Amino acid sequence: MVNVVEIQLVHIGRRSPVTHGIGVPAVGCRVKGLGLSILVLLLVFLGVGISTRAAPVSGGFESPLDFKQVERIDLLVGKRLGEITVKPNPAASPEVLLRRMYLQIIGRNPTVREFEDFMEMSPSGKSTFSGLTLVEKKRKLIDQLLQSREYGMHEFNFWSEMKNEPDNQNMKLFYFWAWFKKQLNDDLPFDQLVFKMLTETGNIFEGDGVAREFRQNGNFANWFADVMLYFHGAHITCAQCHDHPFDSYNQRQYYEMTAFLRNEGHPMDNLPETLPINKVDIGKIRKRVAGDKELDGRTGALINRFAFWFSKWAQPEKTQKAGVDRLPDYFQSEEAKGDPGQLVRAKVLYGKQPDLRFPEPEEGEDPGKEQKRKVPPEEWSGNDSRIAFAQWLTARDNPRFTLMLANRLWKKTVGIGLFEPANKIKEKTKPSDPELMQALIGLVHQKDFRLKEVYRVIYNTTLFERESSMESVSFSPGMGFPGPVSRRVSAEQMWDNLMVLRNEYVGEFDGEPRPDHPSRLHPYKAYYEKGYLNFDQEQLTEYVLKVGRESRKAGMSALEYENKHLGHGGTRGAVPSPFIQANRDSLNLNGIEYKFLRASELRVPARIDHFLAHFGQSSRKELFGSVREASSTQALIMINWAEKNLFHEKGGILQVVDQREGDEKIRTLFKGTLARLPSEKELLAMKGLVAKSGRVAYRDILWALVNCNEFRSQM
Amino acid sequence: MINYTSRRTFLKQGAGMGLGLSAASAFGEPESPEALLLKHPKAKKLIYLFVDGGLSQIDSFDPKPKMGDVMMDTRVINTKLDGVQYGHYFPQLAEHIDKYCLIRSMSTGTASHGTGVYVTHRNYRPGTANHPPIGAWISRMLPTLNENLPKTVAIHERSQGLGSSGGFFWAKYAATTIPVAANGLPAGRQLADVSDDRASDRLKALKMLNEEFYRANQSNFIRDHIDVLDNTLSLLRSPDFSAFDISLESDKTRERYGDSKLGRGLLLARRLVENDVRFVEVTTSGWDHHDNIMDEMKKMGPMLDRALSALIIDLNASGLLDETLVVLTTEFGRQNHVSGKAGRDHGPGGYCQILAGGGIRPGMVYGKTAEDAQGVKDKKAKVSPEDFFVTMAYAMGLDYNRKYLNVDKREFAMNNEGKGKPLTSIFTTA
Repeated sequence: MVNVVEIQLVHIGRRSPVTHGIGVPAVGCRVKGLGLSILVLLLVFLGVGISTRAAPVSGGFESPLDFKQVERIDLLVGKRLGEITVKPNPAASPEVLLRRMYLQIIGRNPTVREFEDFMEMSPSGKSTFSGLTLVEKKRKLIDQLLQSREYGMHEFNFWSEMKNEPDNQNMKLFYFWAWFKKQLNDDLPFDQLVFKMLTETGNIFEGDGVAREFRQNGNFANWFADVMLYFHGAHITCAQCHDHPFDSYNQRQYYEMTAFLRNEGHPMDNLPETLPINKVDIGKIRKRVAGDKELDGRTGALINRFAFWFSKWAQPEKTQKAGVDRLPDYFQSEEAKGDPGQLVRAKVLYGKQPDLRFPEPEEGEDPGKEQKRKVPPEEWSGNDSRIAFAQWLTARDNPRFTLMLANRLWKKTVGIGLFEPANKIKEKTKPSDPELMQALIGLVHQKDFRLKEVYRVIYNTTLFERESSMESVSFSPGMGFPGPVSRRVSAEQMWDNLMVLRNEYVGEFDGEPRPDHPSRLHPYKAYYEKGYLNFDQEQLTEYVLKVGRESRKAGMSALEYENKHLGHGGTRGAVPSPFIQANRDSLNLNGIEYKFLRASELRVPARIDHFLAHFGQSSRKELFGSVREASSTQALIMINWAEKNLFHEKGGILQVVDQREGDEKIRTLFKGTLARLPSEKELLAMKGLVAKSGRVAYRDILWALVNCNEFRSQM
Repeated sequence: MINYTSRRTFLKQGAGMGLGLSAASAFGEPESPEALLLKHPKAKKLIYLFVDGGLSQIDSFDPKPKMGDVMMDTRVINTKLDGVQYGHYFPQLAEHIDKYCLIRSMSTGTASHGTGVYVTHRNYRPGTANHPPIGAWISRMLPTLNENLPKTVAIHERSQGLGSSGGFFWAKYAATTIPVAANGLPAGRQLADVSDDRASDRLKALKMLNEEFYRANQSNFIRDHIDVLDNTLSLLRSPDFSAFDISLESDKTRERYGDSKLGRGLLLARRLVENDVRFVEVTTSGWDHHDNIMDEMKKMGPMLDRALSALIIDLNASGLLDETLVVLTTEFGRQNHVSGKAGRDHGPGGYCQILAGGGIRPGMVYGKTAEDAQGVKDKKAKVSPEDFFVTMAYAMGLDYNRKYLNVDKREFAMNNEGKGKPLTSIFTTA
């Protein structure tokens, strides 16, 4: 294990002149056991299970709570508070704790029924928590929530910020995100999750193949910068053009890193011969179509759809990375040797160099040689540099990978990271509490990167039970944590809180997620499911001609015809965004409609005019793009829009209110929105409204409750 | 058309509900007028056009015909100024070059969008502070010109909080955001089935809930939400609300700005400035042309040309250009070589930005990019985003040296510890 003092100093360093490729030997960065790690990860990659534990089953954890770890964290938090003579905050009320657990673990408020069950206030007198102490109730609820499907929904909102949606990709990532949510719920260890995303090459419609969609990007340099920043805390992109001005790595090192992932043969070169469709001569079909007067030019698009599809999506990628990149024409490093256009071989910034089997001689080609972008095969590594990179990045011994993860988990739970900004590690980066940081890293390792297990420990700490500190607390090097930090809820939490008021069963939606947006992959998936991979020359020609003719008769393009009449098009255009839909005067919403699903089940990112965008959902144009600032548009939406569109429904909170009597109606509204009972003063004021306006006052009270600041705060 | 006036009574009752704030102060008035650097700054308002993605200088305002193939399909055209040529997508801006100042020697230290956008808007690199963008500085340092409208507005922001953020001045100084110019303010319509009486009851109930909560939880973000609610209620009450409605413009005018998102955005910006909104940012997205830049420029170049020239011409004709600074910024330029898919990659070394009005010398071209389009020819004439930022402040008369404390009590000034210097030579009143 790497100790904390070292972690502070483990940054991307220029290589030591003494050692071969180990970046931080000056402070003794340990890379012991890396070889073993690689072996382990390789086994994982090859599908050999290394876990001794079965996947958690729904309904509970198989192992008991790890009290030792819980106590350790509390001890360290207490120790720091003692050092800085700050008292811990008092224990939060059961109501505050309840709402916090729901918001934190599954991303929404408890419903009225859930509130009453936990607080043992149900009109029926029954509770699934009866006979338990508050601590036992808490433990039980944490386990239940961590195992609920909604856990994955909420975690998705958080982790999906790791992947920018490149422009013009037309929501291709839908299937990837569906897979990603499943992995979160199945608690696939985080290191394995990242490893799969970096290395999977399978058919995207089968098994884990869709993980390769993570590597879809509009621009490799941006994508690579994102990967290095998100998982590694390294802002390396500056070194693309020159030696990094503020950090200690040079331009050559940048290209040595990109060499792991950049070069790749064209997928067409590697198509398996066994599939009939790969033997089809597309050119012949093009000619045939061009010469057919019954067809219009738009039939060509159908051929492109096939050509694009069969070459890329529904077949395994057989390419491997060569481990070689080329210095750019504008190479200008002052620190490192190299000439513009020169080949460089993959090398990691620090740690043990991965095993890449390059041919002799060691150095790249003669710089004077004619420069071509394609790397000559004689320079290729004998094994796949992409795998080598993923092994290096996700290795247990890679201190930065776990450090970033542990800090992120802490920040997500407690509100402020142990170092800030939590998204970056610089030379100066020093955790506010190195011992606690070390303990968290140890925790992540001990739990084998299983996030649910890590959360389970943190949520069961005494720290998590305390009253929150105010959000204006900001990071300082010697800070302690008297309690979690209050904050405004995220865009997704705000939306989801409204969704459960509209329909308390919205979280229980199950089955195949249905996209509310067009995805470019729908037609390909339809082809795949219909077995078009087995089309031979004749069958494909016949299909194209048939669709071409029929579409012309129907007066639409071949693609439109396929989408509409052959069911290949997903739901393009069928469902406008909830915002637009909801601004129509007449709404006819029966039961759960998928546009009123939880935020995680909607298009990601939401359209810019959607509720979620207004409330600060990340636009996925850059990492960490979500914001929690107030805006007048948010206020307008809550004043004018929310009530009209969310409180008309049967099955919503107003229906529950209908079933209650007397003051209990008002209490029900407070339970469902703020997860607490009204104070005497509040009850009196609200009763006044009811006395004045009658039944309609319950809508007015609900309006005030969802507009109030407590509703948008996580305390 | 959006009609708010019928609901004015309702809204009046709700104004000032945020804990003793008067309605007039709801838009974040500075506590006292700040010292102005220029005694008589000409620019009172700013229209900030942000070209998001990195506008190619080679294809727009600084073509390099001698570079041959690199130009691809872009031809050069003459502007009204001798020896100054543009890419052929920009004939109207070429024609009206005598009305604005072109900076050809912009140069920045980042090729990453996130950092570039941040620096361009906020004059600092991203770090541990939430640095205010230009709009928030203006909002914080200058008094309002129209109490009935927000002081600052951001149109078509691609994601919230780039230019509209209040930074560490918080949301009180944040811009009102408009995602779709043609729709005006989102969710601006009142509920038809709630009587004034009930509306008043709702606001009273809300006020009580918020007061109780704030008493126990006095934090910045809660304070922020209270301020914003006040701002919003004042806004809904505003008699000048029609400023947000571009459908009131003639077909001919709308045609001149172009039937594009950008055209509508700049038209709305003009209406808002006419109604004395201090700052309007309009974002045009999708300029990150790594691929097929020629196809993109054919579509997007004329769109930008038309909309921006219409704005400048209109403001010039009405005399408003004298008191309105109009700028075009972008996070960086593009490389001098053609990338794999007929595009251009990020080129931070040399690029172009524009300033017009508000005391800026018209018909001026400042600086030159290098002959290979990959840097700045004369390093002394190099203009950093920091310089440009401070130049805007200078034009508005803002004291860019004045320090403000953020939440951690750290000091920040508009000029980022002297990193930016104003280009005084481009002012008529230097």
